[in-house]
Amino acid sequence: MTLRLIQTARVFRQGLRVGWTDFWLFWTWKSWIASWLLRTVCNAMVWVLLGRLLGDPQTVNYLLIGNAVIAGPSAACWTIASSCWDRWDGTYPLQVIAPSGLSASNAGRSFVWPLNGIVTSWVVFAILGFGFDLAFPPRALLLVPGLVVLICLSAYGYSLFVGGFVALAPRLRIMINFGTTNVLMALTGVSVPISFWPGWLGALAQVLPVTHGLHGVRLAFANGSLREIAACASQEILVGVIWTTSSLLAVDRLAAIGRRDGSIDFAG
Amino acid sequence: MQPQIPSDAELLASADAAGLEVLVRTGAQVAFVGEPHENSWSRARRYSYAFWGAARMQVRTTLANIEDLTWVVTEPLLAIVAVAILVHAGRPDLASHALSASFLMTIGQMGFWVGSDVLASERHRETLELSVITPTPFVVVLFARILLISSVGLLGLIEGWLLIRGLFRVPLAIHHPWLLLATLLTTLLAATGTSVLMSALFSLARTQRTLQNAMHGPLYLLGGVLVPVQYLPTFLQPLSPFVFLSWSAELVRDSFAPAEPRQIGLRLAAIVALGAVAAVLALLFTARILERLRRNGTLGLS
Repeated sequence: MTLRLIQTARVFRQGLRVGWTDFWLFWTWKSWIASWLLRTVCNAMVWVLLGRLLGDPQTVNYLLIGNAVIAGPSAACWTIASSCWDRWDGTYPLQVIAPSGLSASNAGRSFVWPLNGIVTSWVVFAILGFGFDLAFPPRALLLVPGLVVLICLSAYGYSLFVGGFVALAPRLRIMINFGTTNVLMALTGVSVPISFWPGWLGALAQVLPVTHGLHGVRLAFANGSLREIAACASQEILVGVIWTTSSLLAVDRLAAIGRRDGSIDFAG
Repeated sequence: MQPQIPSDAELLASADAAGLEVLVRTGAQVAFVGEPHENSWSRARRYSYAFWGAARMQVRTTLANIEDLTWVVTEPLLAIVAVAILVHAGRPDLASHALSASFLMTIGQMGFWVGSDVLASERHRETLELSVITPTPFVVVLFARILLISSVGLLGLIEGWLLIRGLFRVPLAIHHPWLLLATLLTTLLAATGTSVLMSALFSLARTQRTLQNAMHGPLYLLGGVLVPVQYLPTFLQPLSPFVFLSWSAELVRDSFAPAEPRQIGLRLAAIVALGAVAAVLALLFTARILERLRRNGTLGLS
């Protein structure tokens, strides 16, 4: 068992190395700032300006916090699209038949996305907070960076699970990637409180990533009690663990479907 | 009956009339060299033939590749987010803002993302060489294909309208249908012109995705697709009139407002003019860029 864990960790680390190298082949620091960050800040800003249009400073702050947070999970959701990249590299069948299975290598390869998300969200918080005079109480300064990490990681677990299915239909990867992000933006309390939606959608939001962590972030900004914030954080962790475990259970089984019907090669 | 073989003198005379020189003649076989004279009518016919051929090809490509339709599915979802915010704030009367965002971001993504990929992907698949050596300028093919791709983006308006009406029961009456139609058409042309320009410029880049990403946010922010330009930070506002989306967004919103819109002609002309400038630049750049790729021998290498 221990040996198995060590092996899995090694595969994960190697996968991360591939993902990391891939990431920096695509981006440089300059292009990351001039392209990725610019795009993310502009997109978030559009929503904050909607608050300004509505003429209510509270709505401005609500949308600012929500959109600065969601910038992280949106980046982490790239895990969904990147689940298919190995197909184009021709390395996917090799991973599927490797004794360690697909899930560890796929998880490692995609781990660069939540890392990107964490940094993105932090920077967007700083830029928009400064630009729109958001007050950062000490509690928020201390806790929000950590909560953002939890949110990005649970979104990553969720994306691994969805990515397992997307690997069966690679052409839909970007559609599902952005579709997921937009659903998170609508339902998890980024734009409107969850109570705005009908009960069943509210119930769905409880099992989605972001919901609980973002609630914790809002509490931190409102100087809420530490106990409540800790409860939100642990719920976010729980959601993340559930999705990550489901992905570990599902990814290899889903890949086995492709193995059976012979569709795991380049094509899709 | 034997086909009549022209005499050397007849052949030379007819070649001369067409602006060609006879390179070699063996019996009934003749090889010509040179650029044939062509009147503008036959050239127009040739171009339109290439245009429709490329358009037909794009219809088939898009139908066969669901990936091209990604943005038609994802962008209108943002209208739901926007209307949720507006309804929650008690301002469903501003729903046309969400609609203009849904429409312009869908048409924008179709053009600026899918459309701007066309030249680079031809190059990637090594089919660009074949297209470039044909006598018809490649930019004709680019225009046809990108016009088709962008026109799919018109669905964004219909989807946004259905979502807003269906999910939120917000009445969204079209008060000025002709203005809306004119805005859609001019926007489509401007989006096409701009995307052809991007397609040409991006094909030179190492990774066009980086540039596509860079366009994504700023254009929609400056274009005021969701929030009118006057709410932007003051230092950004002077840039907005140079983005055709800013004119389109205002006109779409005006089409859904009961008030009589003003200066329609001028505003529509602004969209057309910005699109035309982009199209002219695209014409100039595409030929130069292709020439450069040919000279460097990198036409088929990605």
